[in-house]
Amino acid sequence: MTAPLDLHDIQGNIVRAYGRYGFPHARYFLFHFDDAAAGRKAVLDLLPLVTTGERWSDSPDGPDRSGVGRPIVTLNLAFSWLGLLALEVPVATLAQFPPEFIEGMPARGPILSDTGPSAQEFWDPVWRNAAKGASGAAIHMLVTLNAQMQADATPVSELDAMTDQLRTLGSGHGVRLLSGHGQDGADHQQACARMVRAPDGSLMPDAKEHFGFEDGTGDPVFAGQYSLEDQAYRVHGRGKLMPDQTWKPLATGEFLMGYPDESQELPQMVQPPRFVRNGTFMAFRKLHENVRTFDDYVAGQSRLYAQVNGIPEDVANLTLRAKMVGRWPNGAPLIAAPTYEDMLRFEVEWADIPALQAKSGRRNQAEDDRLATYDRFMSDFRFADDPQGVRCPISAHIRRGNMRDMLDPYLSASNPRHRDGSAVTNRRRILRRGLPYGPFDPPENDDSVERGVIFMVVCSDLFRQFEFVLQQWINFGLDFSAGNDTCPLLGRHHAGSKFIIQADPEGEDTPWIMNGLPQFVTTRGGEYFFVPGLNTLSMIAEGSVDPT
Amino acid sequence: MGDYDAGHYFLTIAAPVERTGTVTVNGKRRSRIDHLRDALASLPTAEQDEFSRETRLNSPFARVPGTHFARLFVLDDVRYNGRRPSNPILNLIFNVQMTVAERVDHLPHAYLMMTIDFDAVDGSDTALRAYANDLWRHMSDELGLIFGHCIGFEGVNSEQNFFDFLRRTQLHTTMPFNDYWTSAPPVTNPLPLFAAIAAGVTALALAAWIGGIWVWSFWGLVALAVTTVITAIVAITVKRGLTPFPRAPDSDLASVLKAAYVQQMFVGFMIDNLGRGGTDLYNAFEAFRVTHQPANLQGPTQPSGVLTSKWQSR
Repeated sequence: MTAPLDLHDIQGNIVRAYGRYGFPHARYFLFHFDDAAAGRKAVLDLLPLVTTGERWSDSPDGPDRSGVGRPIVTLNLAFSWLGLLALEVPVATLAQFPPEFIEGMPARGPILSDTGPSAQEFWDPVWRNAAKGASGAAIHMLVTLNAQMQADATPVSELDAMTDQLRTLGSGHGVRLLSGHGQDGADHQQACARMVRAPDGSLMPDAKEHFGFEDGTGDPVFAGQYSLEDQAYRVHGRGKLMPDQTWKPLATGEFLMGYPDESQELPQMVQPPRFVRNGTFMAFRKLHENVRTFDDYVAGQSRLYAQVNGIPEDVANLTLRAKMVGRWPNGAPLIAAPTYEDMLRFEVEWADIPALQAKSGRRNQAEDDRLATYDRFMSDFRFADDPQGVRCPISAHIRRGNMRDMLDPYLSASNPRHRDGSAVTNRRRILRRGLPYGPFDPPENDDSVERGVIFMVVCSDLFRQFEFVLQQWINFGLDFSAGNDTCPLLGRHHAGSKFIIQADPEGEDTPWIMNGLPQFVTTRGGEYFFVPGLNTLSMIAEGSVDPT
Repeated sequence: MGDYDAGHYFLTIAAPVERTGTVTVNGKRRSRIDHLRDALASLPTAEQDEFSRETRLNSPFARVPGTHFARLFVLDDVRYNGRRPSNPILNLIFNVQMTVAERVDHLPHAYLMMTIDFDAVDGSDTALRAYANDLWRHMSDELGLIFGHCIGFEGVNSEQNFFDFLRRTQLHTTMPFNDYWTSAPPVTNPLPLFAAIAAGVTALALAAWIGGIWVWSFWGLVALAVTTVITAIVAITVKRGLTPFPRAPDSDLASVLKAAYVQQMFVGFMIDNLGRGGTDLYNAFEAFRVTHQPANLQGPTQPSGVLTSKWQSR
């Protein structure tokens, strides 16, 4: 039995990925507090604008029939540990925060593989100066805005108004908006979903990032996040797999503090415990995508692959891309659509989905059912169906990010009672938020074009969840017998890095190796933030946090 | 038993170090234990990651053939676990004063601990002696620097008295860590033997009762029979528990290193020959076989103490 969550005390970016709820535009602002009282006043000023996790009646993705309407622009706040210190949250409280949050992301560089081309010397100035500990450059507060769009796909005008409001936050006294994002040193980080033409000719956002893959499909589902009605269909493939092979939502405590987690205990608490309740942690990362390098590399690999397999090069190109990720660029999972022909069938069969997803206004029951069926096709699969990686390679991106049931030591047990489902991976799940940044299809397809993804990870234990997944599963492979191979897409690649595509041991094909992987993704900045509940925001703003 | 299992000797050494001992550094007296710990910290480790690779240094144990793992640390004392739990009612009856500290146990010395897993044919002194000789032969300088801080190491200057020192300071371990059997070792099922013993004893007891040889009570006979069976089963179980597992296939260091080498070279072979077939592939594989000699442990292999075979050529 799950007690309902106090969604009005929880920040909205924890329970939903705004990009999928009709907010394709985002701006991220970083602040430094020179003065504690001024900082608290700024928090107090922003407090009424904070978007909570309340359910919306007019959400295009899983509407809630009882809630209120969506805001035009959402606003959310988060603080670094130094930021909480600058706001004079008592040290007795701050000392009990976990060490990785206290240290901050730059200090965790070796664990996160922020080395080589991802080293801090290559970060955007705003992130680099903070990492270097430059005077007055420490990042204290993150403000995120997400905005709806107009018919021409540009952001609603309220986004500019809100931006101007943030620029004058603190009226120039004791609160500084930090500049130095991107190549032009802007005072905020922009992000925007890709825009495509709907069948009716209008522009609509889709979920593709710059390499051309549908992103963010398999986000976890935790207890209390959705209405029971929504949860019933979303949980398939996104929650946890039980020994009897049914899906259940993950424990709330994996993503929100103050609740039991998957180990059936309360995660780390501080004094007063109320301070972290309904809050969580966020890892913010700006990930640059070397699109030209990626396109060239895959094209080069495709030539030989096409020749050996006797297929056209464009088919080889798409196939290799799909093998690297574990999904076809249109999002179809390899487990469900293993061959190119399956993928083509998928395109035809679900051709009506983009229009349904983009439909403004209320959908009818048939449309909702159609979307729910599609959703299950996209997410509801188990790796038990492909233990040798014949369909979806063992080292593919989606297997590494979420291993589902693959680590179940009794994966092949015929009696479900002997299986463990996804028990081994349930404590390693992360919520992914964020949007792509930079232009799609720029005039020059070049690595130097400022584009990539703003990758925000939400979880209640950065060390156990985010850092573990990145270090052990993305940048290492021992847990699934892939040696020290790293993720073909996101991983840190060294000279001789490779990606192995398994072949069916019973079939005629031989395994394929994509060799000499260059670096496709590099880090351009990042920090760890605490995302407090609304009541905690009030306590911080009032300076009334009492650890006694 | 415990010191040897499945083809590996699990050597545990506890060499005493004087707790109040000192060394003189630049004319100042310093703690001997501090000095020893510093010596251990500056002893190079085997290659563990890209950072230790950059040092280009390697553990001296990598020079000693057959060494799988070696670990050194200083044990200051037994850890105090807090006051022993006691029953409050008994405390009341016997007037135990909880506010008066109870006796705290200590070890007589601090100890330099050394644990090594190495290849051995059995758990005999001869096997240990052979490895001790290798240790002395390959790293007597480092051993002297470290064990020179220990009581009883004075005058150790040869293979013979180093072995004697090891024998004096050896602890017999009861829980070796051995994961070289990747499947269950071939062990016969003892249940048929247990059943046969139970049946035999029952038959004997029945014969004794029917034949009138047993003149005491029937239940006495039952008790004797049951005790005999249980004793036999326990004795057999203990005996079998003390018998080492056979050596796991290819679990000696030379085979492990060769396997690591061949795996890496074979990945290179696969990459070089992607998409090839027929005679080309056959000839390439023949060249691979000749160059890398997969079955020859004395042939090309990975050096010990490093993570990849490529290291040598970097």
